[in-house]
Amino acid sequence: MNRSANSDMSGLDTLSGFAQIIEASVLARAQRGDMQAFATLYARFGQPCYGLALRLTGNTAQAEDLVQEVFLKLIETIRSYRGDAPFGAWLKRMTANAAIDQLRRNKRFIDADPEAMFAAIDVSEANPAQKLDAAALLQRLPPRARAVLVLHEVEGYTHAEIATLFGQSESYSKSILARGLQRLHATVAEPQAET
Amino acid sequence: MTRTDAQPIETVNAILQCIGDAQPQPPADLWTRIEAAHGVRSRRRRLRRLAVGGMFCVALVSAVALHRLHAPSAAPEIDWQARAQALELQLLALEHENRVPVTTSANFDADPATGELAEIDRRLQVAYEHNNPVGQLVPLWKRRSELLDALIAARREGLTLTRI
Repeated sequence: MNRSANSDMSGLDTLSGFAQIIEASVLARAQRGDMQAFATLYARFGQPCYGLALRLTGNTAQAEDLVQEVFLKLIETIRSYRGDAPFGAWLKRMTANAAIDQLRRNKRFIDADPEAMFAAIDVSEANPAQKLDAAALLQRLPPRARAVLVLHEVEGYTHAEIATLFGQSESYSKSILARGLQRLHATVAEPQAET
Repeated sequence: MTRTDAQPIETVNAILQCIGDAQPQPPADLWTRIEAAHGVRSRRRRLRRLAVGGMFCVALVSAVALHRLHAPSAAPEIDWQARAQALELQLLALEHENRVPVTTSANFDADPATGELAEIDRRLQVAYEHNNPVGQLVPLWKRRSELLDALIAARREGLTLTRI
């Protein structure tokens, strides 16, 4: 991965970000509407939230909007958090849901069949530098395929969970994932064939 | 699987690993923007609540005003019958005091000034005989009170009431 080409992609471990434990006192203060407590939550989880949003959307502006949307929703709904799941997992789920909602709002991606969805993006347009850049490679995938691939391969979601999130069948999720991986393999294989 | 087939898979796995490991930094001012957006939303919500509350108050006040306009008055009902009887006693006392011929039901007809009073008495009598509902009696008692009021006022000023 060409990290220098994408200054966003550097630094800490995303997965451990959501696994952080938050003090009960901070949560209690946040549940009372204390904005300082929300600032603390953002300081801890803003980065992993943004990382996930960026992986799912592949676009910094959309990722920022998504993080804003998630934290605004968090401020409004934190009273409903009962602590049944770790706070980070709850927030991660909220972020994934928000990202998928954003994708679902974009009808042209939802209504398209997988074949057309993949055909719409021409892999041959990728230049050799992009083929070495993970973020740029993900951009070669249709938005929904990228989200399915990230959720399954990186975030560890099951096909059943992804199917529920997208309101589709498990086989649909499997199909999108298989095609996404196939597309990535093809993209990566291409420069090797050229050399 | 051949070596050439395996290479892209390894590369893709490495890419996915790389994507998982990477933790991009959000813009430094993102939290400030979130706080500002929250402030705007809160203000809008407060304004909306105020507007809704204001509209509710206006609706409530209008409803109360309409109810007061159309509903029967909540003020205690005047007992027109008792009032008429009291006024009649007052008139008798006044006439006795001034040595004026006493106006009684019997001589109402003889005095044109009290003709209307006599007519009211007749209508009341008929209404009672026919067991008419109270709703029909009240206006008669009310009119009788008004007539007696006017008659008392006229007697006090020493005038002869020719027409009420």
